Amino acid sequence: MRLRVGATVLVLAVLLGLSIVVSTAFGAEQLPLGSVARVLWARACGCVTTDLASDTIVWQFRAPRVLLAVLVGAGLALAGVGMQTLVRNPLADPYLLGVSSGAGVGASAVLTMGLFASAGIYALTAGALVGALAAALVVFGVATVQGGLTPLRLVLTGTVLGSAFSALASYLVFRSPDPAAAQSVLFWLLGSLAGAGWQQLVLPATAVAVVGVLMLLGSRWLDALLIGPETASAVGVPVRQVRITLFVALGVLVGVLVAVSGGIGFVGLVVPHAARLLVGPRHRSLLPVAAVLGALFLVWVDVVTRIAVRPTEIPLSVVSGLIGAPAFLALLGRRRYRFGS
Amino acid sequence: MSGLEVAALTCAVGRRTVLTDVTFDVAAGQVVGVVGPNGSGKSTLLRALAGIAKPPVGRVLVAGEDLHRLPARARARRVAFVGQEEDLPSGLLVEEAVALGRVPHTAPWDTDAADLPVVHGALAAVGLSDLARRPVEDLSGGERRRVSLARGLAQASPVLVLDEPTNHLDVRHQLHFAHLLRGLGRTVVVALHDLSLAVATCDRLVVVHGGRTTTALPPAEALAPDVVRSAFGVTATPVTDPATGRTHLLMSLEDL
Repeated sequence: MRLRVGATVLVLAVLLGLSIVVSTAFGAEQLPLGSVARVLWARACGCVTTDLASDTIVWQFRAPRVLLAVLVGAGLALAGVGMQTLVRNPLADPYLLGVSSGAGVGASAVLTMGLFASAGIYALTAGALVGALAAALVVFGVATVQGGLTPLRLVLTGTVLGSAFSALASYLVFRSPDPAAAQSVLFWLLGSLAGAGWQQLVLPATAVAVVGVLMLLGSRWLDALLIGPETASAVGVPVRQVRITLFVALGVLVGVLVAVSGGIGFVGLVVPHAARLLVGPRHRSLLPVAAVLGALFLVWVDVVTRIAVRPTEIPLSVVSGLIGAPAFLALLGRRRYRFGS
Repeated sequence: MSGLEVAALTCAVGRRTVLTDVTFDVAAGQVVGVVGPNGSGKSTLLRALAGIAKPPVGRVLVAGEDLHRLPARARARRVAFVGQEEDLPSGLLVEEAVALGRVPHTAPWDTDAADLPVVHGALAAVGLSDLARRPVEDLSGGERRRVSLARGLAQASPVLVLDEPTNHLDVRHQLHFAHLLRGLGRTVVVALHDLSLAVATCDRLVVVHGGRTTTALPPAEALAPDVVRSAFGVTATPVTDPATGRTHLLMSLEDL
């Protein structure tokens, strides 16, 4: 049975709003909900707050971090929907195009060789972004030369080149004299939202909004593309142009997300399927529900990473994988759920 | 209404040329059948006729316009195409699948609401009105086939190109479908593997065989016994149905 889209988005959005507020209470330093509310209220009305410690924790550290979780979760879910449509494959996730491995090369180069040092604290983000976009460009080029952006070609090219990029990143780490480099590269690859600041929200917010709106505007074309290139072409969809646009949009979106948060597994794979079960496969319904669901999921996954082994943090992929893998099996194991064939 | 003009068409799959020098005309409102043995290039020809696959040589004209020079959307308003096999995503409702036929008439961000009358009309035409709100994976193979046909009808184009539309259909629905095609008042090009059905349904037939096609000929002429023998390797004996007066073909293997 399908749920009504409007009501579903509304309920999920309310849950997300509550989660954003409540989740700022959790972390190395546990805060009572009362003081979280007082800090946020003071910030909202512009009053002077008396509790400076809570204000710093909630407003400077946790609020931007939670909002980054919202953006990355929503973005990965949108990218997952887009990728599964582009390659017509239920196993596709946002990292299929080798984008995360490319970002890994960039990040490893920054962490082990001090590349982009002039970018200061943004060096890691800059390196990862350059690596991600370069990887997407290489996959795009190779697939195009070898016969076009067809689903099978993209899956093969993306997977193979992704392995090559991973090998390159491993080599960079291996030849680094710094023993701590391996640990920081590993931690980065597994994803983390630690150290998020307000300024870091602008780029992902823009990417998620632009790509989300773009996909929503083309939702009927994406529906047709999911059935197959021949049918899509028969109903007047400019298949080649739509595929190229979708590829570029996904490459940039995923590149930006990986650059600010590392590689977070399973969100972009599981959330689209969950959303499809709730509201059906049509993109107009699927995209908004997947986005809000992805945001909600990642906000709480991030909370777990902060409080599971206090005061240390564990990487996001550890938690999202432990929750995501069984969830994925449970979803796909349902007898009535088929994606394509 | 407009007819279809096929001029000196060469059809290819990848770099392999499958058919050369295909030339025939379809008058407006006529139903033309494409028949030929397996692998003769019927589907390739149909994809070229529908403007889906660009042929290396030749032109396909609808109302004087070359289909392969039109943008996809403009082309889809003139020709609807329903291919042989279609993989409908699970969870899609029947009316949503049919509504895809309205894509060339609406913006890609539009809802289906304005199209529902056309969609339900198309579903009624193929006898699936009762299943409009059912998920496609609940349907049988034949019903899914009719969903794809309804999508082609909903596209409301003057020309309809159908590849083996009667596959998976039971005998009643095959005949119903043949009747439906004749009553559409559209120009139809349809590939059929059942020669008797082709004879009963079509105004003209094009026989595809040995890398060539015939022009569009009346069924009795197109499927003359010597043509059937060389194209299909069977002996065809025309008989007249005493009840309806229609001609049917009896087939037998030559060497039996």
